[in-house]
Amino acid sequence: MNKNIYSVFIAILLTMTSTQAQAQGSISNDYSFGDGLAIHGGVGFLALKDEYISSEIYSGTVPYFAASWSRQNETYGHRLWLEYEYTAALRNHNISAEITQLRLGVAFMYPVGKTNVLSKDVDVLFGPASELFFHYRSENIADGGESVANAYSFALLFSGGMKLEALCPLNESFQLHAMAQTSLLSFGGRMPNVAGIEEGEKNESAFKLLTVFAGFDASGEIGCSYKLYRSVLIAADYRFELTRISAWDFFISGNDNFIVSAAYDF
Amino acid sequence: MTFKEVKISRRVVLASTFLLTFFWGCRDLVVTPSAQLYFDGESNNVNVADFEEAWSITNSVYPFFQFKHINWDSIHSVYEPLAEKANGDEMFNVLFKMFTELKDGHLEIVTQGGYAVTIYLPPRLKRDISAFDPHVVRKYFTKELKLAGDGYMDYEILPENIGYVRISAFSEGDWIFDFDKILDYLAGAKGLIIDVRQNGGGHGEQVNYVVSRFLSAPLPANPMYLSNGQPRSNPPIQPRGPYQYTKPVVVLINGASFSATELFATMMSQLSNVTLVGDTTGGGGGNQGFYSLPSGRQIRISNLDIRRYDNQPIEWNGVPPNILVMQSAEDLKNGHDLQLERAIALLK
Repeated sequence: MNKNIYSVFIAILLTMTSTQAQAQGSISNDYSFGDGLAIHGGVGFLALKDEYISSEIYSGTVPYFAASWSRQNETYGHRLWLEYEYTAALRNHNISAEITQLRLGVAFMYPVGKTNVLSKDVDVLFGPASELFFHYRSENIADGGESVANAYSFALLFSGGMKLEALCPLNESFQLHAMAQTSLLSFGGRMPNVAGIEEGEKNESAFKLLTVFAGFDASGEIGCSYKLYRSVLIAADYRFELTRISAWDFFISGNDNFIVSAAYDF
Repeated sequence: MTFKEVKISRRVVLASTFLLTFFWGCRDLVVTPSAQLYFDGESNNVNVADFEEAWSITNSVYPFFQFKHINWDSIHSVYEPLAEKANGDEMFNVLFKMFTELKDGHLEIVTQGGYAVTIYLPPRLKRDISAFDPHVVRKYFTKELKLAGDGYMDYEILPENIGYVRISAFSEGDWIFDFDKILDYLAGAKGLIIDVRQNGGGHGEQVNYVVSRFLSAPLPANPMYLSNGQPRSNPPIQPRGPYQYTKPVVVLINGASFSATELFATMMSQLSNVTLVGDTTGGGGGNQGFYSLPSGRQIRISNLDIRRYDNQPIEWNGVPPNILVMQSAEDLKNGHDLQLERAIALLK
């Protein structure tokens, strides 16, 4: 009975989440942590609301690029990743915004247990993670007359939190993986609201320490990887990311991506 | 990496439970109440409300309809249908285009967070945006210029024993108090250049603070009018400080001297020891008022007709120099600040 409950939990996590692309040999009964360097490319859908500009939601498809590095030792493994997203076509009706988003993260993963899902071994790893999220928006909010009117906004979140991974090798070449990550405490930055400054309101700081309720960054991934050769591996993943900041004008950026990856173990 | 098989850890269960609870708990936090209106499909109604409010406020406070020969009622009939059709942030464009009709450099549309977007660049301001280069100014000095006033001012004495101070803005703040120290430093020079080129303006109080050091007698305020044509009376500007600077002064102006800076130029032009050199100022003769719209957007528009001492509106007309010295980016590229050179020649 208990085993079933655990299986359900892990199954849910698998559907919510994922890992970095894998690039490790020795796939047998043990999982592949994914040592080596991986590059990722894909396409996603991004929805954004930044009330520094307006309460309107902007959305559109965004190319996704990332690189990651993973390495393990006897007691734990660590992951380092950099993501980049850019589009000039995030739209709200006939108004478009130019968006650049970067994520730089690191995580230290410790094996915490092994379970069984649908008769398959699933290894679970858990550990601290930190991520730097940077968002920059440039927008032609209007054009006409003799000039083009640009507005700008940015969001910054440097967060510490935790990461959970589940790795399920199906055979020597094929592995399922999932990941969930969330922030707990963050250092955030935004353009302070100055709309009322001329009317006597006090200017607020552009940088603040944020609890998870004021600054929240989470991501999840689920996917599979396949070992082509001894050191080369390909993967396909679904990944979602959510960043929410409410300590200043409300900001939320959510995107999901379909990603293919290639990894090389060296 | 290997580790011994164990029954699923309690830590995993706890962590999983926490994550699931957390994601579920955040569900209601994602959408703010202020945004709910938009999810309910009320975006267009908000835009129409914004339009009506913006039009009405402007109709009430804008003082230049007659001077600019603008029929504001007809503007309403042209742009109201566009506002009704506008979805979401398309309303920015409708407001932008409507206000462009006023050709007013003080007009701004402001995002909810306060980012101000300028709607109209007056022709002289646009022309002279590149007609000043502080690096070229520095070539005329043998010493590095000193900074003061939170970086709003720099100053030094030219080799010809002429004092030079540049005031880059008249923004609100205590930084302006440093002007007295600068004047003390430059008081021994045989003349003074006050460079307000590229000064986009600010607050009248800051202007008065500087002007008051040059007055030997109270200076009557320049004329100002409300939107209904009624004059607004202002008290004369009183001399201030331990001494008054009465040596020759050149005020450098150009098309990028705007708003409160033009007030400064017109006041200084009333003093017999002051010569305005450069080019006619930008022509921003309104006082910028701040007005909120129902959506949270804001508009900033002129609500006062500030005039020169000859009772001509500063709006569009600007303040002309006593000595016209035109200057282009090309002159600066060749290493010459012709306006500064003329000022030095006058005071030498």
